[in-house]
Amino acid sequence: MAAIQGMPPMPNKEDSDATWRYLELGVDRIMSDLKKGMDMKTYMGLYTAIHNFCTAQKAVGTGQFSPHNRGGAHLLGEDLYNHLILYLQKHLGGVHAESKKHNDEALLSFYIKEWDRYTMAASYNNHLFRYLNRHWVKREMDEGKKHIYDIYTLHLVRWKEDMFLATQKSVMDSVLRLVEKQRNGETIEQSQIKSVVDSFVSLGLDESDSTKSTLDVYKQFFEAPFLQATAKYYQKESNDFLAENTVVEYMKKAETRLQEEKDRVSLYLLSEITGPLMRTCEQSMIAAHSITLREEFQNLLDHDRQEDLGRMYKLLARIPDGLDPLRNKFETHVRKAGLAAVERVAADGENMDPKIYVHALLEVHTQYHDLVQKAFNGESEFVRSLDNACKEFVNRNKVCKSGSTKSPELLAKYTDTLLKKSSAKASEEDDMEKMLTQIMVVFKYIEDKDVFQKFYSRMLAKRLVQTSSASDDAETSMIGKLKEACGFEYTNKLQRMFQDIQTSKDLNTEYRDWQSEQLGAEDAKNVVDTSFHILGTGFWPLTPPAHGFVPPQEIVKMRDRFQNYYLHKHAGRKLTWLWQLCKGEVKANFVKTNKIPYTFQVSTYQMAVLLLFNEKETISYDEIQQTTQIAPETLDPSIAICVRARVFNVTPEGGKPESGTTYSINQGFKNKKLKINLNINIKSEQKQEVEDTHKTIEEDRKLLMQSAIVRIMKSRKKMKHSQLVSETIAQIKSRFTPKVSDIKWCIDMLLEKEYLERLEDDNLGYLA
Amino acid sequence: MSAPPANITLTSSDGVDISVERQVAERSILIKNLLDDLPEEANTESIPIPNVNEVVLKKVLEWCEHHKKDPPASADDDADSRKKSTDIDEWDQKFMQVDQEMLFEIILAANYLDIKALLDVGCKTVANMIKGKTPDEIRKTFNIQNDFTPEEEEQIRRENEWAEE
Amino acid sequence: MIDIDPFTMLPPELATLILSYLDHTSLCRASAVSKGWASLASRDNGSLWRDVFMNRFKPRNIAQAVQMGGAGIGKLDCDKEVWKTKFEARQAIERNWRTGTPNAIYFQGHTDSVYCAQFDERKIITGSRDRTIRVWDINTYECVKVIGGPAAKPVSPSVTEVALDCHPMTVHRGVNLNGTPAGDAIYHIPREYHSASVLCLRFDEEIMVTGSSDSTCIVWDLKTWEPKWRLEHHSAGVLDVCFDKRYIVSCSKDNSICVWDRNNGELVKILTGHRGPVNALQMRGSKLISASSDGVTRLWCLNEMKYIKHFNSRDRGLAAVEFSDDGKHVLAGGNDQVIHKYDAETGALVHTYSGHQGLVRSLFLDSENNRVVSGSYDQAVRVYDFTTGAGLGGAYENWTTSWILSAKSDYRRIVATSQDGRALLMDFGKGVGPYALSLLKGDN
Repeated sequence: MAAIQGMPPMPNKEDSDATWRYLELGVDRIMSDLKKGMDMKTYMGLYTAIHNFCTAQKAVGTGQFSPHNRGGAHLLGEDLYNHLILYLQKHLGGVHAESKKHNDEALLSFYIKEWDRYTMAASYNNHLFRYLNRHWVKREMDEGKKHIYDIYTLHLVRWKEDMFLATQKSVMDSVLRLVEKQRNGETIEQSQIKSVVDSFVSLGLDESDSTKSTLDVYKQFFEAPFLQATAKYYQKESNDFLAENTVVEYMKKAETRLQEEKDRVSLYLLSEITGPLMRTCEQSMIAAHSITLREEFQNLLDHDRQEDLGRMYKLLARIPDGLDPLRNKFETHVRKAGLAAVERVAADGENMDPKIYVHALLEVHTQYHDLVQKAFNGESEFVRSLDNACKEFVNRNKVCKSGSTKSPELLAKYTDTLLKKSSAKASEEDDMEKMLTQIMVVFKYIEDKDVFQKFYSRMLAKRLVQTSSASDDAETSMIGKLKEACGFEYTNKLQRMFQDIQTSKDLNTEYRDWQSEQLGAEDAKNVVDTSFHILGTGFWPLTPPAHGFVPPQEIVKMRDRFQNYYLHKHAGRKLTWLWQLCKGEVKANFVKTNKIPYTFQVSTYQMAVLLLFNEKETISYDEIQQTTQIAPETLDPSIAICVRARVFNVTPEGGKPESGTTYSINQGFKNKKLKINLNINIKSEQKQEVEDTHKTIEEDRKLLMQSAIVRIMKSRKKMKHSQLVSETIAQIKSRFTPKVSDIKWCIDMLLEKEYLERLEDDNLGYLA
Repeated sequence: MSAPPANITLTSSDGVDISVERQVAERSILIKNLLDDLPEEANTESIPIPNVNEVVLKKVLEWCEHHKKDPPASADDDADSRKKSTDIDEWDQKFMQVDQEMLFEIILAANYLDIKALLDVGCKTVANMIKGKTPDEIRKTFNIQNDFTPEEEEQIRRENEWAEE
Repeated sequence: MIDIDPFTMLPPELATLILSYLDHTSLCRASAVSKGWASLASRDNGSLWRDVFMNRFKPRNIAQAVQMGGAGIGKLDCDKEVWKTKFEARQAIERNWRTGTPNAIYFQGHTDSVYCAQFDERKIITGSRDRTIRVWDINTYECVKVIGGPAAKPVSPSVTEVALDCHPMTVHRGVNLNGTPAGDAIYHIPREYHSASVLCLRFDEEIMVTGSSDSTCIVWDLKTWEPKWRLEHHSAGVLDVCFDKRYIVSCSKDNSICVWDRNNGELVKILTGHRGPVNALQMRGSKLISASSDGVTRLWCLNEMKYIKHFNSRDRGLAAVEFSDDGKHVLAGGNDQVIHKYDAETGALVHTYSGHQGLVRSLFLDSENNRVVSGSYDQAVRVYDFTTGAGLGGAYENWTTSWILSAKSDYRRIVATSQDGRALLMDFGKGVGPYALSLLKGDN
């Protein structure tokens, strides 16, 4: 087989110049003509020439003892290494000169082509010069010599010094023009840029450890100018675009652009650039226009443009502190919307319908809660803004002008209407549950939770006593929700009330059994059917009747029998009768016009009045009053209802319930229904109740504050006045927002009662 | 792409073709790099090994054959990272029981062909021939002339006195 | 068969490779074979000597977070001719260890027992019952800094005070600067200081941690000698401290171990379990070893902050404990005047090092050089071969005038501290030229 064309025979291994001339031919061939192929002979020839040259001298010469004959690969290696450097410098000088003839894409093509060729040759040379790498280079590096590299790295170092530094500017300019073209919508040869990136990365050599690489070169010469150009491009584009388009259009544009830039990374950039590139884009597209964007926010809110709001959120969320101003605006907006909603329905003033009120609050909450979830990603900061706004308009609005206790009162009332039999018309259980959940939404924002508790417990008491609850399940569920929100203590009494009713049911059954055993058949016939509720004094928000009452004999009998039974069963207990809450049914046998007698549902007071007419046809007001002992404020409206229902005839006609007026039974009573309810709540009573409730709230609060103060002082023993005040506020906040002046008042009370004492330095001490 | 041919041919410096399994030949990093670097079609030729004669080449290939399953030596097996020991495994010891010229030829060939493990075994073998011997014993072992003057010899002895303890 | 000088056939790089397999003795003999061989094995063949040196002296273990003294291999990029010199120097130092002939240097200034010491290639830092910390230049032997509160500042020693005896091998007895202008000039009153004995200390390149009878640790900035943080949680004296790049760990007479964040001084975790004062600590990577007067040594994992297992030692009242770097062996010394080497896994007794005639108060294991240094109330420092337990170089008895409280070592020195208020440096570089010794110093 013929030797390679142009390759001379192997040089004499001792002849340095000849060896290098031979190697230079080979290296040059590898550099410039590798494509034409390389054969085994040349490959082995070059490797062997280097090996033979390096090993020409033996460790021990023939007889002469000279310190200079220990060169071997060590001295000779350096010689070859330096020759190679000179060759590469010259070679790259030529490449650089050639590169000047090209521009733009042609320059890129040239650069990449040369780079590929050169690095390919470098890896060949690295193998051919391996003997140098193994011995001379390794030794130099072991000895800590700087700027000695393995042959491959040497090629890279030379490229960087002799080619890269002189051309990188033009190359980068071409790259950036290409990218700009692509951003402008043109199709480009993006693989060229990828190759440039890769080549820049390859040049990152760690000076302290040449086996490692760094991204330094890439960062300095590619990333930095790339980001700079990106910033410039989008500064201009976004300014121009905003000048001619709406903010919403701009946001859409920015969204698209950001996505494009993100995609660009995976197309031909290094993934490390993602962060800096995104930040650069965000700076030019969003941060630079954040004021303009935010100005549009109110407008979008006003028109409920959920999708666009979401767009704005996503954009501004990308920049630091981008959302804070939005949150403030959002909070204000929701508060205003809440106030306006209340204003719209508050026309009724004092007679505010609880349902309308609560629905108005809920509607606003629902709308903006939905917005936060859908447009603002349910982000906790926006949720907080929403909560702040809701808390504000729920507790302070037109209806609450008189005080923040109005909202809990109305909410409790609305809850009552839901849970009461009358309104729960066929409402599905699911619906009920949903409505209760909604109540809890409003409840969460109520500041005076104690007020709600107070009203709620009163109404619950009524529902239970009057057995007017729609469903036990719903009641339990509601108590459960309150417990979850406010803790065991908050619902303790409510639960006890519930229990009492349950216990009473069992008691009544037992009692009836006992009664039927006790009574003879005759007596049993005359028994009035009765049912009793035993209500624990401490748990029910109920007070004994304010005035006396002489119950009719029939009732007295029943009462006494039960009382005997009960007190026998539970010795030492005391029963107080809450007549004002008792009710019953009486049959109107006096009406002759109807075959079936009418039944009147009446209060016990009314019953006492009606039963009087079993003895006499006509009775005077004074007589009624004296016999029953019912106070006029209760008696009068009770009679009035009977009059209005035409159960009584009044003499004189239209006479007010007062001395001189007499009543007789209307024997011609007529009604479409057989059961007539005369036990109707009395307006004035209701109003009185509300007032009473509010009054007890004030008292309870003072007690609550005092007990909190005592609790704190008991554990701390000594405390500064101001510190005690703030600690007390912290403890009580979950129930209501106490006024500092009230707390001070309570502290004064406790000082007076000598629970506390004043010490020096504004300190208070605890007296056990 | 077809699988590389299982056998390749090496031509020794004295012109003898030796056919050898590629895997065996590739214990030599030189041959491995060459086969990897050159395009497939160039690999049909036989590989000239201009520095090693048939006898030595066969001996080297015998070693490679025995060690063909050994894990490849890591690229930069840092000599500093381990304590150098002159222990040699039994097969290698036997393998190295050759006359001195052959031993040195094997070392030279291993160095040329870039077979690090064989080079190490060879060097260890020579080191073991030196270890523990007095200068005179060493001279005898390798048939070396003492070319020192008595003064030079005395100076060397004094210089290295510290090491004799 | 023809015998041939191999080096007439082989190039120098292969000759060097062959010679690098030799030990120094064989190598020196080889250099006497012929002129050619002499040239190959001469100091000019730096890479050969470098290989031989590293083969013998290169540290096997990854450096611990707190490195005692120096590694003794010098700079890696030193001139190639000096590798042989370095080898000769190390060899001479090793010989001094075997013959037990160091130079003695005394450091005077503390006014009460010196409890603890650590040193590197530039300085020795000592902590004392006199509530101060002193920094000494290990090369010039001068006291360069005294750190303590205003009340701990020493006054001139009384004229009647008799100078303490020094060993005949003394080459330097430090001058007591207390009460002199020079002494005042080096006295540093930091923002915070220990109000009681300084019982333990460790330092690295950046910080020093000291533990005191005042129940606290102080973390010092080594650049300013000012406290970075005071670690307060222990309710009794802090008996030992150690740290790495993540944590500082302290142990106390209050039976507990506290783990602190090295980077902000905050308490990370309290490890409890010991039923007696915790005397000594060591960190090995993520493992922490603690030894207590309750006779139990506990092993903890600092990644999970939990107890892993414990070893019951044979005897109660251990005064000193040391773990080998590989965690395989435990050394323990105490009242019974001997040092026990246990297998950490099985608890089996491997060796007993004997010789002391008093309580063994201090133990230090130099794994790199396979030496154990012990200090005892019998006023002696002893050195043992870790593997065999054989005594090395005899005992250094009565080099101080009272109990030895701590003794640490590196390739060339022992630093011992005593109840007599002095620190003692035993320098086994005796007879080795200053230039050769300087070649063994590291980069710092």
